[in-house]
Amino acid sequence: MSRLILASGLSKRYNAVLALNEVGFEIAEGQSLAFIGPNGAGKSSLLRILAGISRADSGILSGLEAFRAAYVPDSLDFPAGGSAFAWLSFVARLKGAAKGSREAAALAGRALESMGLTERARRPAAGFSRGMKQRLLFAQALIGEPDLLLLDEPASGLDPLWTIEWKDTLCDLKRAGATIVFSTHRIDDAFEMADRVLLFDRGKLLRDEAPGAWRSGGEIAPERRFLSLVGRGQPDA
Amino acid sequence: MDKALVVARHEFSWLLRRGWVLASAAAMALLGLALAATHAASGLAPGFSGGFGSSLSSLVLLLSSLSGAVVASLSFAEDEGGGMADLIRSFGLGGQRFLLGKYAGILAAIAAASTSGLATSFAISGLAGLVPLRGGSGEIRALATLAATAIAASAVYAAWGALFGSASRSTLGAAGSALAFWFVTLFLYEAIGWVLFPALPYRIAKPMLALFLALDPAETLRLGSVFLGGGGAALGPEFFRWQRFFLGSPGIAAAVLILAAHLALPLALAARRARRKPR
Repeated sequence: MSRLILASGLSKRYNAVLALNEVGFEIAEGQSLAFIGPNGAGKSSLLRILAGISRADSGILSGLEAFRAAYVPDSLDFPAGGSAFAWLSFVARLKGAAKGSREAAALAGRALESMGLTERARRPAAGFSRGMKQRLLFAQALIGEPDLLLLDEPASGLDPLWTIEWKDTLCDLKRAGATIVFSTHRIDDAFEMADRVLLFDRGKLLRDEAPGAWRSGGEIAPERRFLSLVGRGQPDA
Repeated sequence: MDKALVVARHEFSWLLRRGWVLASAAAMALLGLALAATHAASGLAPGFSGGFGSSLSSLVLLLSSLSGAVVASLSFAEDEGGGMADLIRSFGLGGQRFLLGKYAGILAAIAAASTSGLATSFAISGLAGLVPLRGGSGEIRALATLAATAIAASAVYAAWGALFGSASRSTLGAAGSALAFWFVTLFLYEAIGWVLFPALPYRIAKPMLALFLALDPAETLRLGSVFLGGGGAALGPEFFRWQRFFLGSPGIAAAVLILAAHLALPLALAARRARRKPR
């Protein structure tokens, strides 16, 4: 039986700011969803709630417990001193993917290799470039064979080569049956990678459609449609 | 292995790698040796159970509490502000278990630093003849008291450091709060007592003073160390009575309760914050 994540009426407030306003959607197993929208639209807040880091003030969220979720934040300050390898070994044990040190080391080694970081394994992660840190974050997400990936701006800071690599990796994971939810400012990525594109603005879900539906009529470019929907421009024919 | 224990082990080894433990141990050993040399030069070094031991006890309290407060506040603030704590929460580890695991790792590291520094200072000063070791149970008891003071001071001040670190998103703010707390409780609090109590009638001042001292972690640890070391009689008949009480079974139970309260308050506040994290 196919698994399903259901969100209904999710709201989240940070003091005076309403980050999410009665948001509802569903995610079927194996689907990929892209969250798009301007800064402060509520994309990251929603991903944090899906990852179990934060709780919605109201609303219902169900079905997550049936998945092995992995979360990639948009950025992370790695503590000074610890190597990338030591950190990934720690993650492997903390996720329960490895029971002993050897198993943790093997998983860490594989994760580093998959992200092309083997040569930097013993270097302090705090000294990595933005793109390398992003790859390391992606590596930690892959530990434990997750079947639900929650990615907050996963391609930010990546060079063109690694942008292609992570897209390939996501496609491979999707083919293997993983469910993928990611936020992005790159509208092309959203339309290329996702089965459904969800547009948010000021905490509200404005649109939830397949990429094809966004292009219906064919005359208006998705970027133009995006701008017009968030009230920042007029659609051109 | 329990996830909180994984966090504790990681924190301990990370502090080792960063050199915190070595630096604290070296500071403790060097200052202990300097103190021994000073005492030896002035002919005031009858052994660890004598005047040198009391001076070393003050040093241990000062350094262990400072290390505990600063290291814990910095470590927690780095994780909270930098997003690491959030990422770890996404692994299914509750905020409170993360807090306890991290706190245990920090405490183990600082306690290891303090006790190994003490042991080094003891070994070198004894071998160099700076402190004439008289042997016997008195010396061992004095050393055990010093080690217990170091561990207790690390535990209490690391708990406050954990609270300041988890409440602040900047390392500077967290370390500043921890340092201010350390300074107030170790130095200012006593001065307040000196101003406050002489003005009060003796009958009121006496119970109030006991409460006043018990409320301050530094004063509690200082008195605990004096009583445990058997030096309370030198402070007068009232302190001698207290010492006799605290060395008996009801007194030990009371001391454990007071120490537990000093540990529980900051940890409970930090755990409450972790439970209702607003972000």
